[in-house]
Amino acid sequence: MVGGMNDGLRDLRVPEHTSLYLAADTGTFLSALIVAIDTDDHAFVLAEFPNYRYVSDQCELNDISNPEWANAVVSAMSALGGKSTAWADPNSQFKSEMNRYGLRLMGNNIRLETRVSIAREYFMNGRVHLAPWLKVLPYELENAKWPADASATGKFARVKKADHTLDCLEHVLSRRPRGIQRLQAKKQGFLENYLEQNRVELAVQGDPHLGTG
Amino acid sequence: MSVAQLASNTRAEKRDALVTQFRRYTADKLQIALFKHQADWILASDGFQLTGKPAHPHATTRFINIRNADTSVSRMGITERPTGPARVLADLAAYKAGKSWSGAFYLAGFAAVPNARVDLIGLQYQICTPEFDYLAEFLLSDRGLGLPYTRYHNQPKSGRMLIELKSTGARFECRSWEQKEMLKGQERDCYYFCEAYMLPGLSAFKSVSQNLRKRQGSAVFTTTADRPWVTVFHDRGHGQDPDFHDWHCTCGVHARENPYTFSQQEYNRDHPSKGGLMTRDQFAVAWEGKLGEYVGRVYNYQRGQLQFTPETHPAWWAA
Repeated sequence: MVGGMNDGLRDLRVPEHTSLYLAADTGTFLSALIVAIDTDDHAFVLAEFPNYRYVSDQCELNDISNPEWANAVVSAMSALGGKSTAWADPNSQFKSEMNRYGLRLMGNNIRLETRVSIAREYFMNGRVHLAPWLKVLPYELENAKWPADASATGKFARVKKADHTLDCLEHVLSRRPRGIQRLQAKKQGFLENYLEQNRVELAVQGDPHLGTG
Repeated sequence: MSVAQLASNTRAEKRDALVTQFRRYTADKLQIALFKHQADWILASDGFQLTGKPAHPHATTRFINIRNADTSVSRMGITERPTGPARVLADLAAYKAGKSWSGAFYLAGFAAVPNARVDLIGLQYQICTPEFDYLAEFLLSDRGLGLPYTRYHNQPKSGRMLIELKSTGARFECRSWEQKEMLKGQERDCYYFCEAYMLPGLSAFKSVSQNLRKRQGSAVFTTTADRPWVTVFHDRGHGQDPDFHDWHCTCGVHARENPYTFSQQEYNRDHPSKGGLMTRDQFAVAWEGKLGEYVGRVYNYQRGQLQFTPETHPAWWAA
């Protein structure tokens, strides 16, 4: 595990019908988060993978390389039985590099204000639960602040500071993930669709020798 | 322990004893009775703590006069602080709870120390005004001790706020954090951070703490808990962390503890459950001196909350 974090993860048993989601925030400061969604759509944050820590409210990088970090994320996700596909900022410059280590980054196009707004809904409804070994995410959640005023363009997004792991949580929650992957109806072609919609029930023809009986 | 270290320790102990004695003298002469929260952190700096019980009626030592919320005075017992005097002190209290006044009273103790050097640091010079005015009143005014001085400037707008006493040469000077580079390379007995929440964080302390090392000085933060970073004192100042045994935190001080400024009418006007003007967060900080309920937070979350454990969610844990 990265920096000895998530030590309790091995004692965890992910219940059946629970979906696992992964999100990552890339840059000099890297972070990833594994979130499980149960059948009631409650989010359980299982593991965090920041490559940094906070020392007296300041961010300091841990001694870990990008491949080591990516391998830690991928192996933890595999151990839990999930896929190593992570939601990330759409403009992430790390997509091809992380792909090399088996971590696929998918761009989440939902903008920050909306992500925060949806994440707040989860918190207000008590649908977020945090593993007791998390250290960085609780700190960032507690310190997330609104700006004093809206920006010149009228935007009122939370202050982008000390939020790499928090970004990951907002990425996952903003997708409004579901616990059970519902089976989708098989896609029909045009002809099958047309015939189904224009189906005509034929009148039952009786046997002429036996009557219509 | 080296000879230099030993000498430094002895000097610091003598200074601390002198400061404590002079503070007691000031309290006696000016007939001062501290509020409980004021006594709590000032005693910690002297290596004592409140017992929480009334002192023995016939006790001549080990007690302190406490001003209660109904303005009456009671004698409360004190005992030695198990880990010795605290050097990093925080008083996290509601608005108008008497923080600045107690800060000035604390600093007045250094007046007895020959060549004491004390800096009051604020975001700007004007921020230091309440503490500096109280300090001047304690030390120089006729109502106070009336000590003679060689220099006394009180011009916040031009950044000249200085008291230098004639008898001991002790100097109290206000400094602006906006000119923080000027704080480097000094030797100080005490840094007092005025309205500490305005400062950028603990980095304000870290960047000057080396100046306290030689004289084994102290740092004092009296502030409302308007910014999350001040929890750093709460996290380390309650004795759980042995690496921070010389940190002390007094917190959760209600505005009602200062009966001279408390207004029930304004309290009701602001109370959120009575349709008041303030949000719950603002009210908790402004009137109840609470920590963890911060104005402007995005998530209503405090560390330690929302955890899932084997007790709360047994299905998530291997048997």
